[in-house]
Amino acid sequence: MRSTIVRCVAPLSAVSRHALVRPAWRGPTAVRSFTASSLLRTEEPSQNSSADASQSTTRLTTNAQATPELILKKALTFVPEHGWTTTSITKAAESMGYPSIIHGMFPNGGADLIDYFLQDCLNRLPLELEGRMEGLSTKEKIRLGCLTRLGMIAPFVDRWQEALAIMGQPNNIPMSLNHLGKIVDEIWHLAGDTSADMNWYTKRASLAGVYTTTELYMTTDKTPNYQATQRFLDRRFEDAATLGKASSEALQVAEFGFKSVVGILSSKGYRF
Amino acid sequence: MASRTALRSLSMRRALTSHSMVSSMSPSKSAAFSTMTKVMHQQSSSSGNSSNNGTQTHFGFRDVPENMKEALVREVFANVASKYDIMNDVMSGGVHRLWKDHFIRTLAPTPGTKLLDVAGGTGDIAMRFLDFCKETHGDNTAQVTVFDINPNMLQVGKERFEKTPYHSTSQVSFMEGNAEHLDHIPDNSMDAYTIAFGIRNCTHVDRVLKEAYRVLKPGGRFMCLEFSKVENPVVSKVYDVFSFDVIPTMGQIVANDRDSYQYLVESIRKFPPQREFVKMIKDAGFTVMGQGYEDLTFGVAAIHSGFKL
Repeated sequence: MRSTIVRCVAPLSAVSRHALVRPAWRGPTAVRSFTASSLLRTEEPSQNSSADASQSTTRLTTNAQATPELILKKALTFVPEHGWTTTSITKAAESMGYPSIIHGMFPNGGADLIDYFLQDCLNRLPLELEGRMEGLSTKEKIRLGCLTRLGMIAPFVDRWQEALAIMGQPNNIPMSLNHLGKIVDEIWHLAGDTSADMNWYTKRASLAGVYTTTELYMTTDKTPNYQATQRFLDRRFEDAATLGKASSEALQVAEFGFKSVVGILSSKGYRF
Repeated sequence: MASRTALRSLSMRRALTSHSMVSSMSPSKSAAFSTMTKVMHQQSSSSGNSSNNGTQTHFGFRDVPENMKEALVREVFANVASKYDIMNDVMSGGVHRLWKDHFIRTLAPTPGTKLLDVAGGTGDIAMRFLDFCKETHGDNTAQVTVFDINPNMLQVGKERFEKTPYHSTSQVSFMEGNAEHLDHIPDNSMDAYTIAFGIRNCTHVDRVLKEAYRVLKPGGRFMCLEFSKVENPVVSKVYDVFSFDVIPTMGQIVANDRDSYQYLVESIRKFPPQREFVKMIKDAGFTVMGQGYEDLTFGVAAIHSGFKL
């Protein structure tokens, strides 16, 4: 029984979260899904199951295989305090009863934690969007997909610039681009896109631009329910409709993003 | 930046060890004999009538009875103990210092880590471990137990620690014993287990790994630094010439002991290559991440790592 729970942690928690939590915030409009509080609530079932697993005294083979993932899952709860760092990982390991030396499982530290988080978001996205796309136009589906995905970083929004800085380090760029590609591909796929021509690339390229700038904007957005981010996103979609005319606002945000990444990296001792 | 740090710690290490290197340069009376023949004579005369069960193992390129390997290895290291630093410099061209620095950086001990350093007689790894904890975390609660089968090697380590602030603190302790039977070390008691350039000299590598698994806490890390297999064909050719022609000759010149060095280069070739050793680590119960090892200098050495979960 225990091993079944452990092996199925990711899908099980996702399903239970879906069943338990979704009715509470699922509403007629897409906008309501875009709240930090609802997302924080969705974290609860998965934390409980990881705590259960760590309390298990008999360590089964399946448990050993799941352990790295459980540690990273737990480490996410330390990110608001300790950032995307090895410290978050060691704190999580210690809270689960492991010696902190186990952090060596994740030699890339914060980058490994971010990698896990992005993969987890990708897995959760179709589950959270299930049944909510019906009757929407393609444009609305894309918008809902973006907002839902952006909502997943809401619990970590104060630490997201730090994450972007880590993702921007040269050795992490392949990982970051890979995830960005997966995000936009998943959103288009969920919106029902089946194109198999050059259009496939342009759609994803333009959505990647929209998504990244909006994500950057979100890190500075203090409005309730991220209303300013939603408006920003809508304006980017308008830009994308008149392709090739990136507005000065998008460029400004991109420039701001570059500068803050450089700033954070400098504060961590990198030289340019 | 990383290489700069490595260089700095390298030069510090040089300064620290220069004293012992100078002392070990002094002429030694021993080692002007053939190690292997001597020990084999001793063994055959002492255990001449006891029936040998016939199980053979390798000692370098030779096959010897299993129960003799330990004594043969002991003799090799008794001969080279006083020149161990020089020996490593000769065998690796000085690069072993960088490997060991990288080894400890990979382990990245956290404050209060309890380390068992097996086959660590001369304290090379133990010293780096304590230095890392002190320099990185300002931590003086980390503990290391230096474990070695050979009292001569332990003596070199004790003398080295006597010259440091760690001397007579609870941070470092020495223990003599066989890595296949860590009898005095309780189950689930260590955060980390390291063995650097030692495991290939053990008769039963699988038993060593089993014992490592036993003494580690759940979540503890096993790490092994060992000579390994060079895959690159060009480098491999150069390495072969260096191993079989240059090293024994230099051993003759530097330490006046060709046989010990001949054994050491042969034992490197007899040790299982990277992936085979990863399988042995897995068989002992460890969980490995990714491919489970990291090649150093084209695979001349490799760091293997496993976690007890």
